[in-house]
Amino acid sequence: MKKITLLCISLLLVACKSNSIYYWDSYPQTSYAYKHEPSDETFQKHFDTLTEIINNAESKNKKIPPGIYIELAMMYSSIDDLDKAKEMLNKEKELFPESAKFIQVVNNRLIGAQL
Amino acid sequence: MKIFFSISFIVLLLSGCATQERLTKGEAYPDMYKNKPISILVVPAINQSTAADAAQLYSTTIAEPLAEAGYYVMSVPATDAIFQSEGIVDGAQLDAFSPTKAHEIFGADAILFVKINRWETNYFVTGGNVTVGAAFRLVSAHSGAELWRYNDAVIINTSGGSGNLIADIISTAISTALTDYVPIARQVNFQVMGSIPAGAYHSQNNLDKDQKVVIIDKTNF
Repeated sequence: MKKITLLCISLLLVACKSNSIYYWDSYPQTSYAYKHEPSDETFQKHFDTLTEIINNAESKNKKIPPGIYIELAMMYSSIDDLDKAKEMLNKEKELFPESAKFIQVVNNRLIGAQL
Repeated sequence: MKIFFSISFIVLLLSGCATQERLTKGEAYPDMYKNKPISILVVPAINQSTAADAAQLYSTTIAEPLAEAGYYVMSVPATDAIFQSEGIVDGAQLDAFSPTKAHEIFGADAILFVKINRWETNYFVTGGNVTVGAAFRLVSAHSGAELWRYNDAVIINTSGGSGNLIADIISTAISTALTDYVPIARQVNFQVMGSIPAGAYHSQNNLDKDQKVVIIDKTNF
């Protein structure tokens, strides 16, 4: 009885989940781990999540969420790969034109690439 | 039969809210439909709860429900880093932050503020829950007007629930000790964002005005 109730609720939740616009993979987990305890390991795991989202969103019939490219730009910038950082910022702007001003601020304040 | 009971159980759960005031989203948040914000700047949380981690849990789990509600969420880690470079790490330092500045500086249409007042892990003999109390406010960055708010406690059940009393007690003890708060914070944010009118990237944008919503606004938890 209890199990069936739980099953119904899970089914409802699963049904909602499949309607999502974006592909998030394990974003909440790796994002929290990296924020909570920044280390090479948590950096790599979050970097892998962001890369997975970008590479596979399309095959999952989902879109790439807002901000994913910006986070990658910050990560590339932190390992001194400004070319990649610039590429990521431009991709975000392509996907979400309303981000143009924000991207300028992020670049000026945090990254410093020649956009 | 069993399924019937299960469904009635869910319906009962849902109708438990029916005694509270019910408005449509259009009636409850008229300014949201007039302003039609596209981009939202999420600023650091004010944490007044006893959980030191609450602000981090919030900032890493808010983008998903807010983006899924149809809004362009300005990268939260980038926003946090910019504020941090100005010496702002807690929302309590944002008292003097003017909403229209957020438009000038970041190009944001709206700003999401949150005050977390309560974060409690409760556990009983056969179950447990996490109760999170928070006051959310979405404010227009063009006019400073309040567009949407949510102010209540959200309770997330963390029970094991195998039906076997001894096993439940053990699993409750274990899961309370090792509770992973990320999915809980995520559920809280999804539940709260259920009442926000759908944004530009959502198929229900401008079509959910007649959807009923429970208006909860308790100043004390």
